[in-house]
Amino acid sequence: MVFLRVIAVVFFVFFLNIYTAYSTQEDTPLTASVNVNSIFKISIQDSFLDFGSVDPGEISTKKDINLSCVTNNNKDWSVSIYAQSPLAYEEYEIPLSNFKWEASVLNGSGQVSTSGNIGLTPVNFYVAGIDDYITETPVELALSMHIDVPAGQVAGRYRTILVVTMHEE
Amino acid sequence: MRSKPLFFAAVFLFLACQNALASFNIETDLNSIDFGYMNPTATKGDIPFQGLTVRCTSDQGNPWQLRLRLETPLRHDNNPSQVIPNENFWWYGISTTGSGTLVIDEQDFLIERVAYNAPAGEGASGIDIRLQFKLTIPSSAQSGPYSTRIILTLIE
Repeated sequence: MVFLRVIAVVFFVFFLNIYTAYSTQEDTPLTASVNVNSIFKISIQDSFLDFGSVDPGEISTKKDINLSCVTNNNKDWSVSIYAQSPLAYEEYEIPLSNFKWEASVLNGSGQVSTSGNIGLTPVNFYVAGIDDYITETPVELALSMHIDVPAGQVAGRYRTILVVTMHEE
Repeated sequence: MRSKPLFFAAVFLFLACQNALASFNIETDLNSIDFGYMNPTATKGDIPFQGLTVRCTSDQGNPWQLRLRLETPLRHDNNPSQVIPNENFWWYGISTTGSGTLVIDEQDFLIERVAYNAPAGEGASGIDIRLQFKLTIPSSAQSGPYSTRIILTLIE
């Protein structure tokens, strides 16, 4: 009887060891990390916009500029435009109310304000849609602009600087 | 009648002592690997530069394996819905002090994979396995910090 008990224990130990051997496992964790850089930029196709020669009382030809906006910050953003000063030549000015723009979206899911006047304060003309919060392909915008030259305007080369800004909320 | 509990006590004591004396463990020389700052679409390999050394010790006499998997995809720390897919994250072996088979081709983290196959009887005094990692950031990745845990498993 004792012999059988010893045999049983030996088998028990043997099979338990086999089971233990096949189930032996040990884990160790290792933290992996990366920091994805922020991309937030706007680029403009042409940095110089020349409306050519225009007679007083006439409307200039339309000039187009294309804008490209890229971000991966996953936040609301919008694009605005303003002029740093009126169109000026020496002491003469063409009012900014005569400087018109029309906007359109070439690629993007946001809302565009279709038209307006250039002002001295920024005016939003594009508000990004949710699909634009991370731009796998750039959001492409087009601005078409023209100038109504007032009758009796003094001849000369009038200039201003336009500022187009992409900003996050 | 009292001999039966004694037998079982002896068996469990025997097993406990055997397990306590057995050497079967895994340790790494680093607690973390960091890819640093990366741009979308960028790829960075050979991380860490000196390699991650994994020391596997087993005196059980059985064949054993080192396996790797990711606990989760790399997740944005502030926006867990943003992940870097496991197929953009690779590992590969660069050297070993053992005589087993080390996988040196790039392997993604889509599933748990075997990095090293040790023959029976190897590893009583520890085998070092050096690994490196490679990552590509998707073009649509949100900016910010991402992290996860790599699980290294020593299994017989």
